[in-house]
Amino acid sequence: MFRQLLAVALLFGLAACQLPKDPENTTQTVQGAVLKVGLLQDPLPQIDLTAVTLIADALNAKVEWHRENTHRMLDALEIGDLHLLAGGIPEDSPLTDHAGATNPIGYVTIGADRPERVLLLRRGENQFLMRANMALRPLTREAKQ
Amino acid sequence: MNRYPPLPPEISDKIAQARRLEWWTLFWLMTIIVVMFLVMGSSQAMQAAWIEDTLSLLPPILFLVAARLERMPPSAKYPFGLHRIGTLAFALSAAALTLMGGYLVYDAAVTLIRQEHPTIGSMELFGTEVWMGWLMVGALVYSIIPPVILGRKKLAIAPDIQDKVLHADADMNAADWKTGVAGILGLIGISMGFWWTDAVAAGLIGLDILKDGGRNLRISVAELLDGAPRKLGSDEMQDLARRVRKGVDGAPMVKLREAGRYLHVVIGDDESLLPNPERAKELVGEEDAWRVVTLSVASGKKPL
Repeated sequence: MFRQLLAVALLFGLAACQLPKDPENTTQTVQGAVLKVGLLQDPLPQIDLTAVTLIADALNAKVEWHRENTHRMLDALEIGDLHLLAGGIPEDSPLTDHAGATNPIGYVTIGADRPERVLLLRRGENQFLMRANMALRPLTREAKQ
Repeated sequence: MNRYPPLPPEISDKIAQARRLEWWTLFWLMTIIVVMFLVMGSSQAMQAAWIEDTLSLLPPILFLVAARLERMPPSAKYPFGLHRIGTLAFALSAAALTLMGGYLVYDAAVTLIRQEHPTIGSMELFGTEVWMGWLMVGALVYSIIPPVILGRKKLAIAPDIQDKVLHADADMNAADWKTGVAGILGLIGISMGFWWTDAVAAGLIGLDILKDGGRNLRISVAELLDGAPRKLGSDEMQDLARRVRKGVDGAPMVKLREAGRYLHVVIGDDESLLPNPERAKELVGEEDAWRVVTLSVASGKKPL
């Protein structure tokens, strides 16, 4: 039984370039089209801007900026009307209860704390998250140093 | 010195073997807990699996404690010795198993009702971006191997030494590897874009574990309430009373109860154990006399 399980695991490992998929097809929607980004800070800090640009370039997409009430933007992210939230978001933000977070792109200074800085995306869109993390690698490497 | 007849050597050997198995279980579970902790990240499914693995430390620990203490000599605080510690350990192990099943079902139900799509990130490993889901599958594959092997060995020994804690622990090992398999299937489902597979697989396994836990709890309640000895791993009665009756003339009344692996047998009408109210008053005083419900006077002679 283990051998079969292992074989199945290996098979999926080989297919890993195609997997994981997005349950709601965010990657396909954005690729070659429009990346809709909600701004939690205006103007957007340089590091967040760089991060968004890296993702948009990797997916060959044009960025469309949105600035509204935070809760409305979070709702929009949850149903896929926005693809990313950006702007000084710490990885321990309460917003992460409603959204997925990328790998760190730097740090946010909040009082004496210096949590890692992330972007938020729709929950469960694992391919989109992986593509975003891949694009953000230079920033993550720098943050981890 | 303890007051029990000495154990037959083959039983002592098997109990020693079971103890070694439980130490190995603790060792392997610890390694699994560390490996799972390293890859679980913020994944809820993995956190649930990790909590279960931690919970499954309980039965082996209880077994080891009970096996060490059950033959302790009587003391002023425990005049009957600690012979019922096996009963207590079994009740707690059954509770742990039930808790684990219940937690899995609850967690799965919450995920499905809230339609929480599990988000699993990725990390850079040797220059390539690796989805954490694959690392989790690797950890889960590792986590199912020791419980399968250890559980089977425990099931082979448990009937010989009539050990319900060991039997419940084997059930716990079965629960561990089943949750591991469910987790793997769930992650493969998630990778294919089906967010609900993890919760559904975990929920179904949770129901199965809950059933095992419930059965163990029923047996344990019977033992706590001095019920007739049950068969190992089932709520059916053992056929011991009839066997005892056969060995005694005149088909007397026979009562048996069990404490851990041991049996306590009373032959004959135990109405003779009812205290005379006057005698009880003399013995424990007026105010506590009503609390005396049986009174046996050991003859001090050699056993029958």
